[in-house]
Amino acid sequence: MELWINDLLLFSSWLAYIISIGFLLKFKNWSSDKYVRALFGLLGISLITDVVCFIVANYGIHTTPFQFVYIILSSIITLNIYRIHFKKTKIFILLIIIFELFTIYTLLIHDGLIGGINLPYLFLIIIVLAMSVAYFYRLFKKMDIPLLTDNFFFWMNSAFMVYFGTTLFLYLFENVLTDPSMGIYLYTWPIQIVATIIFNCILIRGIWVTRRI
Amino acid sequence: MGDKANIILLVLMGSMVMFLLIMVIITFSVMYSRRMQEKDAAHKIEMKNLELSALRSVLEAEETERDRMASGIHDELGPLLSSLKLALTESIKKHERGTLTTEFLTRNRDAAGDASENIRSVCHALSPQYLNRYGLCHAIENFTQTVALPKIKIVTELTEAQLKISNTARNQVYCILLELINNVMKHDGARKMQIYFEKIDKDSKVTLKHNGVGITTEEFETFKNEPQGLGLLSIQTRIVVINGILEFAKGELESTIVLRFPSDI
Repeated sequence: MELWINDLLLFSSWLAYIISIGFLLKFKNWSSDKYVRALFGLLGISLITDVVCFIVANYGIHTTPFQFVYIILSSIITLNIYRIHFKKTKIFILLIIIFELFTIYTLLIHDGLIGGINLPYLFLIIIVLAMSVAYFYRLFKKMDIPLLTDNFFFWMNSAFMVYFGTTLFLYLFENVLTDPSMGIYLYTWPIQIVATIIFNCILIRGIWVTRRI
Repeated sequence: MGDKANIILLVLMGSMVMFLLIMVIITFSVMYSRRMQEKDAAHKIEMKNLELSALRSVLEAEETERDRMASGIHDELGPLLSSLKLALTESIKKHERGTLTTEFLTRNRDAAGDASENIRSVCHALSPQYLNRYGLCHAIENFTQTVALPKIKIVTELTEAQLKISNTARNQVYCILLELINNVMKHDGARKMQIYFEKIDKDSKVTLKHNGVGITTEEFETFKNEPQGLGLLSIQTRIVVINGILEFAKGELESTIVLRFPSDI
């Protein structure tokens, strides 16, 4: 059972990278799309964090500070993606500043360097989900995309919604509705991994559409 | 929550949430596509209505043109030919009586000349030969000379070869300019005019500057729908045919009319 979960975990973590690299080799015009660029940035940071955390964990060093750096960088990129899309620079810059200050406060004062990244991550999930819903609402109101399935941002937003929506639900169950010490996450972990695989598959579909265009 | 059943329930619920989110996105996508199709259908209907409206305007303009031609032939050419016939009958009688004079025959010949001139101008209105033979710039020059407007200056910044517009567009532009020149002289009291032909990127531009009163684009929109504004409606219809834009500007010393249209129409 554990071996199966580990295999799935490995597959989910590396799926996006392997296929992204595969696409990159065939990409003709990927650099022209700012959303694709931002997504590759996000995946790149995620990959670096995974590798760094893996190495430092082997040396017995606590990975929380590295995860905090990941949260800060990924939040900047994710919110910047929505800033470009919604064209509301001032509001998003303010949101980014508030989020980063909150993250730093959590890291240095509230939870400490080894306290974990749960609170800032929860905050980020809620913001991204709100943005995602706002995107769908705006899209349905404006009806300005002729063919939805040919739009990269739609796929990326859908991926965010599925992944962060599932993560939020699991987080609430693991940390709020039940006692975290009960270790519920051990049972919900496969769902999280499946959500990651779906997230990556949707992104791959989006990247494929952009490549075709 | 410690027992196995509750954990299975939690895992199932987690899976359900994920599945539900995917279903929400799929439903959204389907609903969006349907709504987009409805929007496209409505847009197509709107475009069809516009086309029909343009076609109706073309037919109305053709009808007006035909009426104008018929009244021209009936009111001017008809009486001329009838009087010529009467005069020829009289000439035969006079010849039989031996009273036929050169002066009488000269009068008849002049009447025949008038009829011939009338036919020529009707034919010119139907299909301007000068336009077909020598092109738009020369045809406009010829028209201004024919209607004795010596102060009209035609300035062309392009040669006829460079102007390169289709025959349909050329005929429509010619008719629009004729109507505009006529209106500017008749209603605006212009005594000086300048006409420029230019080519800007893929568009052709014709500018008519005059020292008359002039009108604004808004006034043109108002006048064209008035009952006596048939000439303006005909201009509007021709503009639709060549997919062009007509802009009017009114100034104290100088007024301008600009016609823009795609050269490849």
